[in-house]
Amino acid sequence: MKQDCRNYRDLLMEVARGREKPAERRDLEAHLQGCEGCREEFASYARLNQAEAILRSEAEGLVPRLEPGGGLLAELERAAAPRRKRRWLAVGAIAATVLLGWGAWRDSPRIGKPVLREAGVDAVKVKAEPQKAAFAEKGSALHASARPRRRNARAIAPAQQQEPFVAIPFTAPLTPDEPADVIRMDLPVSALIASGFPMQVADAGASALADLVVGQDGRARAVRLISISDSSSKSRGVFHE
Amino acid sequence: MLDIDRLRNRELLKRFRDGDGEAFTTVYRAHYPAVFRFALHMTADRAKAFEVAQDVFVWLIHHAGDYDPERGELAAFLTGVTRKFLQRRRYEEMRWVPFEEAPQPKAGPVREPDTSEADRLRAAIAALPERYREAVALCDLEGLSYEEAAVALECAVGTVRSRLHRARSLLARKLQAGESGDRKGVIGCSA
Repeated sequence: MKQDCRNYRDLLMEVARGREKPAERRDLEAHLQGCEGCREEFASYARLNQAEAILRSEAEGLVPRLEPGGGLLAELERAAAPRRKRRWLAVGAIAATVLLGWGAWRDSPRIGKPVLREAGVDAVKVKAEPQKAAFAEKGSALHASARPRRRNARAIAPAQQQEPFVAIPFTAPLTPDEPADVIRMDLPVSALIASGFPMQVADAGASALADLVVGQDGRARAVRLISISDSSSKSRGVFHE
Repeated sequence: MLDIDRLRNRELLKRFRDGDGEAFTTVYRAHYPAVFRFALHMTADRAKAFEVAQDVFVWLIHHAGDYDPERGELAAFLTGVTRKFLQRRRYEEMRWVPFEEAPQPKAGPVREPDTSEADRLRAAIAALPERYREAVALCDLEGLSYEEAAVALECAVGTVRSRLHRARSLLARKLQAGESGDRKGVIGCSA
């Protein structure tokens, strides 16, 4: 093998896989014009690509049904039972502590009216009502006819439903008939900013309660802010233009 | 900095640890196909691939807390878990030495072999050393980038690249040899 050919070996491989830069392809093509051996090798990789494409297609057709069988779900239930029992024991212990504390507070002298704190909620599933989401009119990558399917939770307050969903930048839009889930969860504001949303918050550690539209591939497509929590107050969520 | 998908995966795993069947189904639907396909490419046996994929998700039910979104995508994490199960399965198979007088067990091929190029390639991939087979399965057959495959295989990007290049060179030669009937199948540049 000529020294030049050795230099082109890696590039030949990358071009055959379609992973090269345009300038690299031009460079290789110029070499191939003058080297029969490398042309044959390149042709062999093209042939390999074709055979691999057949294997990929066959494998795709052999994937079993996409629902977990009863065995897996039963295993899930068995695994979760001890954790739920421990959680209820913890909840009971906390409730008992709160009651004792409330009793002590009630009977003790005090100055001002106490403020009750709500327990934090990590994530809430949104209620399963067939309802069309209001998507952002401007700059949205979502198709207006996509219908999010919502499941198992309390209804969204009318005021919150008026906030539109905003497409997450650089994500493929939902197809018109693609079912989607809407999931409510807490997100760090920093993650939203990193995903491309223009947000301005004073507290870098702020978190946002948001609804996510999720496609069948499991990827989030759009987000709707519900509220933002920082160390001082809650405020209504909005993306800055 | 975590992106939304990784955070969502962490949230889903947390939920199905608590027995949320819908959260588990969401994760299963999103990741089972890739886990199954990787196992299929590595074993060339649909039944074995199905068993390995089931093992992976049973394991995930009990070890959902092992996934750390700071370290990478859930898909790469599950590929790593699948590798472990494939390795364990191979070690267990190697422990059993068949009696000479007993009929040799059949591997359960994907389909009856014929002389098609895809079948020759499948056989050639199955004959590759494991580290080369993994690189081909992830980069060529599953379309992962070198970086994604490096995370799943827990090695350097350059290692993935060199293994894949070596594997493709071997496979291309085997395909060439299969057609010409020449067992050597040497491909080279003119001197």
